Amino acid sequence: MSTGNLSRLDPEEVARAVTDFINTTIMARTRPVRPDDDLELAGLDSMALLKVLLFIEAHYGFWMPDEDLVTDNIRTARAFAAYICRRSA
Amino acid sequence: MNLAEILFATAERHSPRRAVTDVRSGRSVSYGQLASEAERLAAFLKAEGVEPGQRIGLLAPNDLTYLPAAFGLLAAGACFVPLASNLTPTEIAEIVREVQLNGCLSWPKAAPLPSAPGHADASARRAVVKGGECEGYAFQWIDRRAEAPVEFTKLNAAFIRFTSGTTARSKGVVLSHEATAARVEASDRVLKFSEEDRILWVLPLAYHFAVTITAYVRAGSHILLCPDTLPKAIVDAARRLRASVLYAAPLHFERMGNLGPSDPLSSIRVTLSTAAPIAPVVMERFESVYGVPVGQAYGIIEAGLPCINLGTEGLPATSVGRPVPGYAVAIFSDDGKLLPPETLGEIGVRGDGLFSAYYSPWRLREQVASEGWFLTGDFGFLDRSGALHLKGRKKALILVAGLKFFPEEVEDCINQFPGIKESRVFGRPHARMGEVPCAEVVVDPAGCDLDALRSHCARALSSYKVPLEFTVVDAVPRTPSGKIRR
Repeated sequence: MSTGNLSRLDPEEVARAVTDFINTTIMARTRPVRPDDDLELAGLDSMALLKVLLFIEAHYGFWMPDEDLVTDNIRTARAFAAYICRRSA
Repeated sequence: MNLAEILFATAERHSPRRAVTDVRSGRSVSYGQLASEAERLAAFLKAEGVEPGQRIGLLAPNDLTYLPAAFGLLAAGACFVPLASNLTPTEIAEIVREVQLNGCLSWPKAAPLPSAPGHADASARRAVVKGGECEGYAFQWIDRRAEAPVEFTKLNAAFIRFTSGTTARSKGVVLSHEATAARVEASDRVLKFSEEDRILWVLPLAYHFAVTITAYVRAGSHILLCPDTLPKAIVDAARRLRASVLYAAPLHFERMGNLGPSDPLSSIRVTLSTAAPIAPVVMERFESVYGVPVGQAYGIIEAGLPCINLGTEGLPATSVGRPVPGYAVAIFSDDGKLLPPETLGEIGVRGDGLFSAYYSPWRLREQVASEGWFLTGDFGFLDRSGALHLKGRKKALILVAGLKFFPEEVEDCINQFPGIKESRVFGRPHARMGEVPCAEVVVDPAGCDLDALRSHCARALSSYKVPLEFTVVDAVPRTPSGKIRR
Protein backbone atom coordinates (compact mmCIF):
# COMPACT_ATOMS: atom_id res chain seq x y z
CA MET A 1 0.00 0.00 0.00
CA SER A 2 1.11 3.54 -0.62
CA THR A 3 2.20 5.59 2.33
CA GLY A 4 2.34 9.33 2.53
CA ASN A 5 2.92 9.96 -1.15
CA LEU A 6 -0.20 11.81 -2.23
CA SER A 7 0.53 11.52 -5.93
CA ARG A 8 0.53 7.75 -5.77
CA LEU A 9 -2.68 6.01 -6.82
CA ASP A 10 -4.58 3.79 -4.44
CA PRO A 11 -5.38 0.47 -6.16
CA GLU A 12 -8.67 0.16 -4.24
CA GLU A 13 -9.80 3.57 -5.38
CA VAL A 14 -8.79 2.94 -8.99
CA ALA A 15 -10.59 -0.41 -8.99
CA ARG A 16 -13.70 1.37 -7.71
CA ALA A 17 -13.42 4.08 -10.38
CA VAL A 18 -13.04 1.52 -13.18
CA THR A 19 -15.95 -0.53 -11.81
CA ASP A 20 -18.14 2.59 -11.57
CA PHE A 21 -17.29 3.57 -15.12
CA ILE A 22 -18.18 0.10 -16.41
CA ASN A 23 -21.43 0.06 -14.48
CA THR A 24 -22.61 3.52 -15.49
CA THR A 25 -21.37 3.84 -19.04
CA ILE A 26 -21.07 0.33 -20.42
CA MET A 27 -23.29 -2.12 -18.61
CA ALA A 28 -25.93 0.01 -16.94
CA ARG A 29 -28.58 -2.40 -18.15
CA THR A 30 -27.48 -5.56 -16.38
CA ARG A 31 -26.50 -6.59 -12.88
CA PRO A 32 -23.63 -4.36 -11.75
CA VAL A 33 -20.16 -5.88 -11.98
CA ARG A 34 -17.90 -6.02 -8.94
CA PRO A 35 -14.15 -5.35 -8.91
CA ASP A 36 -13.26 -9.05 -9.01
CA ASP A 37 -15.82 -10.20 -11.59
CA ASP A 38 -14.49 -11.66 -14.84
CA LEU A 39 -15.39 -8.90 -17.28
CA GLU A 40 -15.59 -11.14 -20.32
CA LEU A 41 -17.99 -13.50 -18.57
CA ALA A 42 -20.00 -10.46 -17.50
CA GLY A 43 -20.45 -9.61 -21.18
CA LEU A 44 -17.76 -6.99 -21.81
CA ASP A 45 -17.03 -7.24 -25.53
CA SER A 46 -14.11 -5.84 -27.50
CA MET A 47 -15.88 -2.54 -28.13
CA ALA A 48 -16.61 -2.16 -24.43
CA LEU A 49 -12.94 -2.86 -23.74
CA LEU A 50 -12.06 0.08 -25.97
CA LYS A 51 -14.33 2.29 -23.88
CA VAL A 52 -12.37 1.26 -20.79
CA LEU A 53 -9.14 2.18 -22.59
CA LEU A 54 -10.63 5.60 -23.38
CA PHE A 55 -11.57 6.01 -19.72
CA ILE A 56 -8.01 5.19 -18.66
CA GLU A 57 -6.65 7.64 -21.19
CA ALA A 58 -8.96 10.42 -19.95
CA HIS A 59 -8.46 9.81 -16.22
CA TYR A 60 -4.92 8.50 -15.88
CA GLY A 61 -3.33 10.20 -18.85
CA PHE A 62 -1.98 7.31 -20.90
CA TRP A 63 -3.17 4.97 -23.63
CA MET A 64 -2.67 1.36 -22.66
CA PRO A 65 -0.12 0.08 -25.17
CA ASP A 66 -1.02 -2.90 -27.33
CA GLU A 67 1.71 -5.14 -25.94
CA ASP A 68 0.06 -4.83 -22.52
CA LEU A 69 -3.36 -5.92 -23.81
CA VAL A 70 -3.15 -9.40 -22.38
CA THR A 71 -5.74 -11.22 -20.32
CA ASP A 72 -3.83 -10.83 -17.05
CA ASN A 73 -4.11 -7.04 -17.24
CA ILE A 74 -7.76 -6.81 -18.24
CA ARG A 75 -9.58 -9.79 -16.76
CA THR A 76 -11.21 -7.80 -13.93
CA ALA A 77 -11.57 -4.18 -12.86
CA ARG A 78 -9.03 -4.93 -10.15
CA ALA A 79 -6.56 -6.26 -12.72
CA PHE A 80 -6.97 -3.02 -14.67
CA ALA A 81 -6.39 -1.07 -11.45
CA ALA A 82 -3.23 -3.01 -10.60
CA TYR A 83 -1.94 -2.34 -14.09
CA ILE A 84 -2.82 1.38 -13.93
CA CYS A 85 -1.08 1.73 -10.57
CA ARG A 86 2.05 -0.05 -11.82
CA ARG A 87 2.16 2.19 -14.87
CA SER A 88 1.66 5.34 -12.83
CA ALA A 89 4.11 4.43 -10.05
CA MET B 1 -31.72 -20.79 -55.29
CA ASN B 2 -30.92 -21.03 -51.58
CA LEU B 3 -27.53 -20.24 -50.01
CA ALA B 4 -27.76 -23.34 -47.82
CA GLU B 5 -27.31 -25.41 -51.00
CA ILE B 6 -23.78 -24.01 -51.14
CA LEU B 7 -23.05 -25.60 -47.77
CA PHE B 8 -24.69 -28.89 -48.75
CA ALA B 9 -22.68 -29.06 -51.98
CA THR B 10 -19.43 -28.49 -50.10
CA ALA B 11 -20.40 -31.11 -47.52
CA GLU B 12 -20.87 -33.63 -50.32
CA ARG B 13 -17.37 -32.98 -51.66
CA HIS B 14 -15.56 -32.53 -48.36
CA SER B 15 -17.62 -34.22 -45.66
CA PRO B 16 -14.74 -35.14 -43.29
CA ARG B 17 -12.81 -31.90 -43.74
CA ARG B 18 -12.88 -29.42 -40.91
CA ALA B 19 -15.24 -26.53 -41.54
CA VAL B 20 -14.92 -24.48 -38.35
CA THR B 21 -12.61 -24.54 -35.35
CA ASP B 22 -13.05 -22.53 -32.17
CA VAL B 23 -9.50 -21.34 -31.56
CA ARG B 24 -10.00 -20.99 -27.82
CA SER B 25 -11.51 -24.40 -27.06
CA GLY B 26 -9.80 -26.19 -29.96
CA ARG B 27 -13.09 -27.88 -30.89
CA SER B 28 -13.96 -28.35 -34.55
CA VAL B 29 -16.88 -29.39 -36.70
CA SER B 30 -16.48 -30.97 -40.11
CA TYR B 31 -18.41 -29.96 -43.21
CA GLY B 32 -20.46 -33.13 -42.88
CA GLN B 33 -21.37 -32.28 -39.28
CA LEU B 34 -22.07 -28.65 -40.12
CA ALA B 35 -24.43 -29.63 -42.94
CA SER B 36 -26.31 -32.24 -40.94
CA GLU B 37 -26.70 -29.91 -37.96
CA ALA B 38 -27.99 -27.16 -40.29
CA GLU B 39 -30.49 -29.62 -41.78
CA ARG B 40 -31.59 -30.68 -38.31
CA LEU B 41 -32.10 -27.03 -37.29
CA ALA B 42 -34.06 -26.39 -40.47
CA ALA B 43 -36.33 -29.38 -39.73
CA PHE B 44 -36.80 -28.12 -36.16
CA LEU B 45 -37.80 -24.66 -37.38
CA LYS B 46 -40.19 -26.07 -39.98
CA ALA B 47 -41.77 -28.28 -37.33
CA GLU B 48 -42.37 -25.13 -35.29
CA GLY B 49 -44.22 -23.72 -38.26
CA VAL B 50 -41.63 -21.34 -39.70
CA GLU B 51 -42.54 -20.53 -43.28
CA PRO B 52 -40.49 -19.19 -46.18
CA GLY B 53 -40.15 -15.42 -46.14
CA GLN B 54 -40.76 -15.02 -42.43
CA ARG B 55 -38.28 -12.73 -40.71
CA ILE B 56 -36.53 -14.72 -38.01
CA GLY B 57 -33.88 -13.20 -35.75
CA LEU B 58 -30.73 -15.03 -34.75
CA LEU B 59 -29.38 -14.03 -31.37
CA ALA B 60 -26.12 -15.91 -30.96
CA PRO B 61 -22.48 -15.36 -30.04
CA ASN B 62 -19.34 -15.82 -32.13
CA ASP B 63 -18.91 -19.54 -31.63
CA LEU B 64 -19.22 -22.94 -33.32
CA THR B 65 -22.99 -22.92 -33.05
CA TYR B 66 -23.46 -19.77 -35.13
CA LEU B 67 -22.89 -21.37 -38.52
CA PRO B 68 -25.27 -24.33 -38.22
CA ALA B 69 -27.93 -22.03 -36.73
CA ALA B 70 -27.54 -19.49 -39.54
CA PHE B 71 -27.52 -22.05 -42.34
CA GLY B 72 -30.42 -23.84 -40.63
CA LEU B 73 -32.48 -20.66 -40.82
CA LEU B 74 -31.61 -20.20 -44.49
CA ALA B 75 -32.35 -23.85 -45.31
CA ALA B 76 -35.77 -23.50 -43.66
CA GLY B 77 -36.45 -20.66 -46.11
CA ALA B 78 -36.55 -18.01 -43.41
CA CYS B 79 -35.19 -14.55 -43.96
CA PHE B 80 -32.44 -14.36 -41.40
CA VAL B 81 -32.03 -11.21 -39.28
CA PRO B 82 -28.75 -11.22 -37.30
CA LEU B 83 -29.11 -9.76 -33.80
CA ALA B 84 -25.70 -8.92 -32.35
CA SER B 85 -25.34 -10.23 -28.81
CA ASN B 86 -24.32 -6.79 -27.50
CA LEU B 87 -27.58 -5.11 -28.53
CA THR B 88 -29.63 -3.54 -25.75
CA PRO B 89 -33.31 -4.46 -25.25
CA THR B 90 -34.25 -1.04 -26.64
CA GLU B 91 -32.24 -1.68 -29.81
CA ILE B 92 -33.72 -5.16 -30.22
CA ALA B 93 -37.22 -3.75 -29.77
CA GLU B 94 -36.55 -1.32 -32.61
CA ILE B 95 -35.45 -4.14 -34.93
CA VAL B 96 -38.50 -6.23 -33.99
CA ARG B 97 -40.74 -3.30 -34.88
CA GLU B 98 -39.01 -2.09 -38.05
CA VAL B 99 -38.55 -5.44 -39.83
CA GLN B 100 -41.72 -6.99 -38.40
CA LEU B 101 -39.78 -9.84 -36.88
CA ASN B 102 -41.94 -12.98 -36.76
CA GLY B 103 -39.78 -15.01 -34.43
CA CYS B 104 -36.33 -15.49 -33.01
CA LEU B 105 -33.82 -18.30 -32.61
CA SER B 106 -31.61 -17.69 -29.57
CA TRP B 107 -28.58 -19.34 -28.08
CA PRO B 108 -29.07 -21.00 -24.68
CA LYS B 109 -27.88 -18.08 -22.53
CA ALA B 110 -30.10 -15.45 -24.12
CA ALA B 111 -33.20 -14.34 -22.25
CA PRO B 112 -36.52 -14.66 -24.09
CA LEU B 113 -37.44 -11.59 -26.11
CA PRO B 114 -40.60 -9.72 -25.26
CA SER B 115 -43.46 -10.55 -27.60
CA ALA B 116 -44.91 -7.90 -29.85
CA PRO B 117 -47.73 -5.89 -28.25
CA GLY B 118 -50.91 -7.94 -28.21
CA HIS B 119 -49.13 -11.27 -28.81
CA ALA B 120 -48.16 -12.22 -25.29
CA ASP B 121 -49.60 -15.73 -25.54
CA ALA B 122 -47.87 -16.65 -28.76
CA SER B 123 -44.38 -16.25 -27.37
CA ALA B 124 -44.98 -17.68 -23.93
CA ARG B 125 -43.80 -21.06 -25.20
CA ARG B 126 -40.24 -21.56 -26.35
CA ALA B 127 -39.24 -24.69 -28.23
CA VAL B 128 -35.78 -25.97 -27.36
CA VAL B 129 -33.31 -27.84 -29.58
CA LYS B 130 -32.25 -31.15 -28.04
CA GLY B 131 -28.76 -32.58 -28.51
CA GLY B 132 -26.25 -31.77 -31.23
CA GLU B 133 -24.03 -28.73 -31.62
CA CYS B 134 -26.95 -26.31 -31.12
CA GLU B 135 -28.24 -28.05 -27.98
CA GLY B 136 -30.28 -25.63 -25.90
CA TYR B 137 -31.04 -23.15 -28.71
CA ALA B 138 -34.61 -21.89 -28.32
CA PHE B 139 -37.14 -20.72 -30.86
CA GLN B 140 -39.95 -18.35 -29.98
CA TRP B 141 -42.61 -16.52 -31.90
CA ILE B 142 -42.71 -12.77 -31.46
CA ASP B 143 -45.45 -11.84 -33.91
CA ARG B 144 -46.19 -14.92 -35.96
CA ARG B 145 -48.76 -13.30 -38.23
CA ALA B 146 -46.84 -10.11 -39.05
CA GLU B 147 -46.94 -9.74 -42.82
CA ALA B 148 -44.22 -8.29 -44.95
CA PRO B 149 -44.85 -5.99 -47.92
CA VAL B 150 -46.03 -7.98 -50.97
CA GLU B 151 -42.89 -7.08 -52.92
CA PHE B 152 -40.76 -8.53 -50.14
CA THR B 153 -42.38 -11.95 -50.51
CA LYS B 154 -41.28 -12.05 -54.17
CA LEU B 155 -37.65 -11.29 -53.44
CA ASN B 156 -36.38 -14.65 -52.14
CA ALA B 157 -34.83 -12.70 -49.26
CA ALA B 158 -31.96 -14.33 -47.39
CA PHE B 159 -30.94 -11.62 -44.93
CA ILE B 160 -31.97 -8.35 -43.44
CA ARG B 161 -29.02 -6.48 -42.05
CA PHE B 162 -30.47 -3.98 -39.66
CA THR B 163 -28.35 -0.93 -40.07
CA SER B 164 -29.33 2.48 -41.11
CA GLY B 165 -29.11 2.93 -44.83
CA THR B 166 -28.24 5.98 -46.90
CA THR B 167 -30.18 8.19 -44.56
CA ALA B 168 -30.65 7.84 -40.85
CA ARG B 169 -34.27 6.98 -41.55
CA SER B 170 -34.01 4.05 -43.92
CA LYS B 171 -33.56 0.87 -42.00
CA GLY B 172 -32.99 -2.77 -42.73
CA VAL B 173 -31.01 -3.67 -45.84
CA VAL B 174 -32.62 -6.68 -47.56
CA LEU B 175 -30.38 -9.08 -49.50
CA SER B 176 -31.83 -11.83 -51.68
CA HIS B 177 -30.20 -15.26 -51.96
CA GLU B 178 -29.27 -14.35 -55.54
CA ALA B 179 -27.66 -11.01 -54.63
CA THR B 180 -25.68 -12.67 -51.84
CA ALA B 181 -24.50 -15.41 -54.20
CA ALA B 182 -23.45 -12.74 -56.72
CA ARG B 183 -21.40 -11.05 -54.01
CA VAL B 184 -19.78 -14.32 -53.02
CA GLU B 185 -18.83 -15.01 -56.61
CA ALA B 186 -17.49 -11.50 -57.18
CA SER B 187 -15.27 -11.46 -54.08
CA ASP B 188 -14.00 -14.95 -54.89
CA ARG B 189 -12.77 -13.77 -58.29
CA VAL B 190 -10.23 -11.62 -56.46
CA LEU B 191 -9.64 -13.43 -53.19
CA LYS B 192 -9.65 -16.95 -54.72
CA PHE B 193 -10.49 -18.98 -51.66
CA SER B 194 -9.71 -22.69 -51.77
CA GLU B 195 -10.01 -25.80 -49.62
CA GLU B 196 -6.38 -25.21 -48.62
CA ASP B 197 -7.23 -21.92 -46.92
CA ARG B 198 -7.36 -21.50 -43.17
CA ILE B 199 -9.20 -18.29 -42.43
CA LEU B 200 -8.57 -16.54 -39.15
CA TRP B 201 -11.79 -14.76 -38.23
CA VAL B 202 -11.84 -12.09 -35.51
CA LEU B 203 -14.94 -10.05 -36.44
CA PRO B 204 -18.47 -10.34 -35.04
CA LEU B 205 -20.39 -12.88 -37.14
CA ALA B 206 -23.62 -10.97 -36.63
CA TYR B 207 -22.18 -8.09 -38.66
CA HIS B 208 -20.27 -10.05 -41.30
CA PHE B 209 -21.87 -13.44 -41.80
CA ALA B 210 -23.55 -13.07 -45.16
CA VAL B 211 -20.97 -12.88 -47.88
CA THR B 212 -17.60 -13.69 -46.45
CA ILE B 213 -18.56 -16.81 -44.50
CA THR B 214 -20.57 -18.14 -47.44
CA ALA B 215 -17.54 -17.58 -49.67
CA TYR B 216 -15.32 -19.66 -47.37
CA VAL B 217 -17.93 -22.39 -47.13
CA ARG B 218 -18.32 -22.52 -50.89
CA ALA B 219 -14.58 -23.07 -51.28
CA GLY B 220 -14.43 -25.63 -48.49
CA SER B 221 -11.98 -23.51 -46.50
CA HIS B 222 -11.30 -24.07 -42.82
CA ILE B 223 -12.67 -21.19 -40.70
CA LEU B 224 -10.83 -20.43 -37.47
CA LEU B 225 -13.06 -18.50 -35.07
CA CYS B 226 -10.89 -16.43 -32.77
CA PRO B 227 -13.04 -15.11 -29.90
CA ASP B 228 -10.05 -13.50 -28.22
CA THR B 229 -9.34 -10.35 -30.22
CA LEU B 230 -6.43 -9.06 -28.15
CA PRO B 231 -3.48 -8.44 -30.46
CA LYS B 232 -1.14 -11.08 -29.00
CA ALA B 233 -3.87 -13.70 -29.10
CA ILE B 234 -4.50 -13.04 -32.81
CA VAL B 235 -0.80 -13.28 -33.69
CA ASP B 236 -0.42 -16.48 -31.64
CA ALA B 237 -3.45 -18.08 -33.29
CA ALA B 238 -2.26 -17.10 -36.79
CA ARG B 239 1.13 -18.63 -36.13
CA ARG B 240 0.00 -21.76 -34.32
CA LEU B 241 -2.76 -22.65 -36.78
CA ARG B 242 -0.87 -21.48 -39.87
CA ALA B 243 -3.66 -19.17 -41.00
CA SER B 244 -3.57 -18.30 -44.69
CA VAL B 245 -6.14 -15.51 -44.63
CA LEU B 246 -6.65 -12.82 -42.00
CA TYR B 247 -9.87 -10.86 -42.21
CA ALA B 248 -10.02 -8.07 -39.63
CA ALA B 249 -10.69 -4.41 -38.90
CA PRO B 250 -8.06 -1.64 -39.11
CA LEU B 251 -7.74 -1.53 -35.34
CA HIS B 252 -6.67 -5.20 -35.26
CA PHE B 253 -3.94 -4.55 -37.83
CA GLU B 254 -2.83 -1.47 -35.91
CA ARG B 255 -2.62 -3.27 -32.59
CA MET B 256 -0.82 -6.25 -34.09
CA GLY B 257 1.66 -3.96 -35.81
CA ASN B 258 2.34 -2.15 -32.55
CA LEU B 259 3.55 -5.39 -30.97
CA GLY B 260 6.53 -5.72 -33.35
CA PRO B 261 9.21 -6.84 -34.08
CA SER B 262 8.26 -10.38 -34.90
CA ASP B 263 9.05 -13.35 -37.09
CA PRO B 264 7.18 -13.10 -40.39
CA LEU B 265 3.71 -14.60 -40.54
CA SER B 266 4.79 -16.72 -43.46
CA SER B 267 1.62 -18.79 -43.77
CA ILE B 268 -0.57 -15.78 -44.61
CA ARG B 269 -1.30 -15.22 -48.30
CA VAL B 270 -4.07 -12.60 -48.01
CA THR B 271 -5.01 -10.04 -45.41
CA LEU B 272 -8.08 -7.92 -45.74
CA SER B 273 -8.91 -4.85 -43.72
CA THR B 274 -12.52 -3.80 -43.76
CA ALA B 275 -15.17 -1.85 -41.83
CA ALA B 276 -13.26 1.46 -41.71
CA PRO B 277 -10.55 3.33 -43.63
CA ILE B 278 -7.06 2.13 -42.72
CA ALA B 279 -4.15 4.57 -42.46
CA PRO B 280 -1.13 3.94 -44.75
CA VAL B 281 1.19 4.16 -41.74
CA VAL B 282 -0.69 1.27 -40.08
CA MET B 283 -0.36 -0.82 -43.24
CA GLU B 284 3.35 -0.06 -43.53
CA ARG B 285 4.03 -0.97 -39.92
CA PHE B 286 2.10 -4.25 -40.16
CA GLU B 287 3.94 -5.23 -43.32
CA SER B 288 7.34 -4.35 -41.87
CA VAL B 289 6.64 -6.40 -38.72
CA TYR B 290 5.00 -9.47 -40.28
CA GLY B 291 6.26 -9.45 -43.85
CA VAL B 292 2.81 -9.50 -45.43
CA PRO B 293 1.04 -6.57 -47.05
CA VAL B 294 -2.35 -5.43 -45.77
CA GLY B 295 -5.12 -5.63 -48.32
CA GLN B 296 -8.13 -3.40 -48.04
CA ALA B 297 -11.64 -3.41 -49.37
CA TYR B 298 -14.32 -0.82 -49.88
CA GLY B 299 -17.24 -2.40 -48.07
CA ILE B 300 -20.75 -1.04 -47.80
CA ILE B 301 -23.79 -2.97 -46.72
CA GLU B 302 -25.82 -1.97 -49.76
CA ALA B 303 -23.16 -3.15 -52.22
CA GLY B 304 -20.86 -5.73 -50.63
CA LEU B 305 -17.18 -5.37 -51.51
CA PRO B 306 -17.18 -3.56 -54.88
CA CYS B 307 -13.45 -2.71 -54.70
CA ILE B 308 -10.50 -4.67 -53.30
CA ASN B 309 -6.82 -3.70 -53.15
CA LEU B 310 -4.84 -6.78 -52.18
CA GLY B 311 -1.72 -4.71 -51.68
CA THR B 312 0.18 -6.94 -54.11
CA GLU B 313 -0.66 -5.27 -57.43
CA GLY B 314 1.37 -2.09 -57.02
CA LEU B 315 -1.64 0.15 -56.43
CA PRO B 316 -1.06 3.02 -54.02
CA ALA B 317 -1.78 2.24 -50.36
CA THR B 318 -4.19 5.18 -50.33
CA SER B 319 -6.51 3.36 -52.74
CA VAL B 320 -9.15 0.76 -51.93
CA GLY B 321 -8.47 -0.80 -55.33
CA ARG B 322 -10.11 -1.30 -58.69
CA PRO B 323 -13.69 -2.53 -59.07
CA VAL B 324 -14.04 -6.26 -58.56
CA PRO B 325 -15.25 -8.06 -61.75
CA GLY B 326 -19.04 -8.01 -61.58
CA TYR B 327 -19.17 -4.44 -60.28
CA ALA B 328 -18.81 -1.04 -61.90
CA VAL B 329 -17.86 2.08 -59.98
CA ALA B 330 -18.32 5.66 -61.18
CA ILE B 331 -18.11 9.14 -59.74
CA PHE B 332 -21.07 11.51 -59.95
CA SER B 333 -21.47 15.26 -59.60
CA ASP B 334 -24.11 16.83 -57.35
CA ASP B 335 -26.48 17.06 -60.30
CA GLY B 336 -26.02 13.41 -61.20
CA LYS B 337 -23.53 13.71 -64.10
CA LEU B 338 -20.70 11.23 -64.62
CA LEU B 339 -17.34 12.76 -63.74
CA PRO B 340 -13.98 12.03 -65.43
CA PRO B 341 -10.99 10.39 -63.65
CA GLU B 342 -9.16 12.35 -60.96
CA THR B 343 -12.30 14.34 -60.19
CA LEU B 344 -13.85 14.27 -56.73
CA GLY B 345 -17.54 13.40 -56.45
CA GLU B 346 -20.03 10.97 -54.98
CA ILE B 347 -19.25 7.29 -55.47
CA GLY B 348 -21.84 5.24 -57.38
CA VAL B 349 -21.82 1.43 -57.59
CA ARG B 350 -23.58 -0.91 -60.00
CA GLY B 351 -23.66 -4.71 -60.14
CA ASP B 352 -25.56 -7.90 -59.35
CA GLY B 353 -24.36 -7.78 -55.77
CA LEU B 354 -26.32 -4.65 -54.92
CA PHE B 355 -28.90 -4.96 -52.14
CA SER B 356 -32.46 -5.86 -53.01
CA ALA B 357 -34.48 -3.36 -50.95
CA TYR B 358 -34.74 -1.26 -47.81
CA TYR B 359 -37.29 -2.73 -45.45
CA SER B 360 -38.42 0.34 -43.53
CA PRO B 361 -39.74 2.38 -45.16
CA TRP B 362 -40.13 -0.21 -47.93
CA ARG B 363 -38.23 0.72 -51.10
CA LEU B 364 -36.99 -1.60 -53.82
CA ARG B 365 -33.44 -1.12 -55.02
CA GLU B 366 -34.83 0.04 -58.37
CA GLN B 367 -36.56 2.91 -56.59
CA VAL B 368 -33.37 3.95 -54.83
CA ALA B 369 -30.85 3.45 -57.63
CA SER B 370 -30.92 5.49 -60.80
CA GLU B 371 -30.22 3.53 -64.01
CA GLY B 372 -28.73 0.81 -61.84
CA TRP B 373 -26.35 3.13 -60.01
CA PHE B 374 -26.57 3.13 -56.24
CA LEU B 375 -25.20 6.38 -54.83
CA THR B 376 -23.28 5.47 -51.70
CA GLY B 377 -23.08 8.81 -49.93
CA ASP B 378 -19.30 8.43 -49.88
CA PHE B 379 -17.00 10.84 -51.69
CA GLY B 380 -13.94 9.86 -53.70
CA PHE B 381 -12.29 9.76 -57.09
CA LEU B 382 -11.04 7.20 -59.58
CA ASP B 383 -7.40 7.57 -60.62
CA ARG B 384 -6.18 7.03 -64.19
CA SER B 385 -5.59 3.33 -63.51
CA GLY B 386 -9.23 2.96 -62.46
CA ALA B 387 -8.49 2.55 -58.76
CA LEU B 388 -10.83 4.16 -56.25
CA HIS B 389 -9.69 6.61 -53.56
CA LEU B 390 -12.01 7.48 -50.67
CA LYS B 391 -12.27 11.06 -49.43
CA GLY B 392 -14.96 11.26 -46.80
CA ARG B 393 -18.70 10.96 -46.45
CA LYS B 394 -21.74 12.94 -47.38
CA LYS B 395 -23.81 11.69 -44.48
CA ALA B 396 -23.13 12.48 -40.85
CA LEU B 397 -22.18 8.96 -39.89
CA ILE B 398 -20.04 8.46 -36.81
CA LEU B 399 -17.45 5.71 -37.10
CA VAL B 400 -16.07 4.34 -33.81
CA ALA B 401 -13.37 1.72 -34.36
CA GLY B 402 -15.17 0.31 -37.39
CA LEU B 403 -18.70 0.41 -35.99
CA LYS B 404 -21.04 2.99 -37.49
CA PHE B 405 -24.08 4.87 -36.30
CA PHE B 406 -26.04 7.99 -37.09
CA PRO B 407 -26.00 10.87 -34.59
CA GLU B 408 -29.80 11.15 -34.77
CA GLU B 409 -30.24 7.79 -33.02
CA VAL B 410 -28.23 8.91 -30.00
CA GLU B 411 -29.81 12.39 -30.00
CA ASP B 412 -33.27 10.81 -29.90
CA CYS B 413 -32.20 8.78 -26.88
CA ILE B 414 -30.71 11.81 -25.07
CA ASN B 415 -33.71 14.01 -25.85
CA GLN B 416 -36.06 11.57 -24.10
CA PHE B 417 -34.28 12.19 -20.82
CA PRO B 418 -35.95 14.56 -18.32
CA GLY B 419 -34.38 17.98 -18.25
CA ILE B 420 -32.93 17.85 -21.78
CA LYS B 421 -34.20 20.39 -24.28
CA GLU B 422 -32.06 19.44 -27.24
CA SER B 423 -28.76 17.83 -28.12
CA ARG B 424 -26.14 17.37 -30.81
CA VAL B 425 -24.01 14.25 -31.12
CA PHE B 426 -20.78 14.29 -33.08
CA GLY B 427 -17.60 12.29 -33.53
CA ARG B 428 -14.41 13.77 -32.13
CA PRO B 429 -11.30 12.53 -33.94
CA HIS B 430 -9.27 10.07 -31.87
CA ALA B 431 -5.89 8.65 -32.84
CA ARG B 432 -6.78 5.04 -32.02
CA MET B 433 -10.53 4.86 -32.39
CA GLY B 434 -11.02 6.95 -35.52
CA GLU B 435 -13.73 8.89 -33.73
CA VAL B 436 -15.24 8.89 -30.26
CA PRO B 437 -18.85 9.98 -29.72
CA CYS B 438 -19.45 13.23 -27.82
CA ALA B 439 -22.64 15.13 -27.04
CA GLU B 440 -23.61 18.72 -26.51
CA VAL B 441 -26.79 19.13 -24.51
CA VAL B 442 -29.07 22.05 -23.77
CA VAL B 443 -30.64 21.57 -20.33
CA ASP B 444 -33.68 22.99 -18.57
CA PRO B 445 -33.01 25.88 -16.18
CA ALA B 446 -34.02 23.46 -13.42
CA GLY B 447 -30.96 21.38 -14.34
CA CYS B 448 -30.29 17.82 -15.39
CA ASP B 449 -28.37 14.99 -13.76
CA LEU B 450 -25.64 14.26 -16.34
CA ASP B 451 -24.50 11.04 -14.61
CA ALA B 452 -28.03 9.72 -14.74
CA LEU B 453 -28.21 10.79 -18.38
CA ARG B 454 -25.07 8.78 -19.11
CA SER B 455 -26.59 5.70 -17.48
CA HIS B 456 -29.83 6.25 -19.37
CA CYS B 457 -27.87 6.16 -22.65
CA ALA B 458 -25.85 3.13 -21.55
CA ARG B 459 -29.05 1.21 -20.85
CA ALA B 460 -30.62 2.03 -24.19
CA LEU B 461 -27.65 1.99 -26.56
CA SER B 462 -24.79 -0.34 -27.47
CA SER B 463 -21.68 0.82 -25.66
CA TYR B 464 -19.92 2.18 -28.73
CA LYS B 465 -22.71 4.71 -29.27
CA VAL B 466 -22.74 6.09 -25.72
CA PRO B 467 -21.10 9.54 -25.69
CA LEU B 468 -17.87 9.70 -23.79
CA GLU B 469 -18.40 13.36 -22.92
CA PHE B 470 -21.55 15.36 -22.31
CA THR B 471 -21.05 19.12 -22.51
CA VAL B 472 -23.74 21.58 -21.44
CA VAL B 473 -24.17 24.36 -23.99
CA ASP B 474 -26.61 27.28 -24.40
CA ALA B 475 -27.74 26.19 -27.86
CA VAL B 476 -26.76 23.62 -30.46
CA PRO B 477 -25.38 25.07 -33.71
CA ARG B 478 -27.88 25.07 -36.54
CA THR B 479 -27.81 25.83 -40.24
CA PRO B 480 -29.83 28.80 -41.56
CA SER B 481 -32.62 26.34 -42.44
CA GLY B 482 -32.79 25.14 -38.83
CA LYS B 483 -31.08 21.75 -39.19
CA ILE B 484 -28.49 20.70 -36.67
CA ARG B 485 -25.07 21.54 -38.05
CA ARG B 486 -23.11 18.35 -38.70
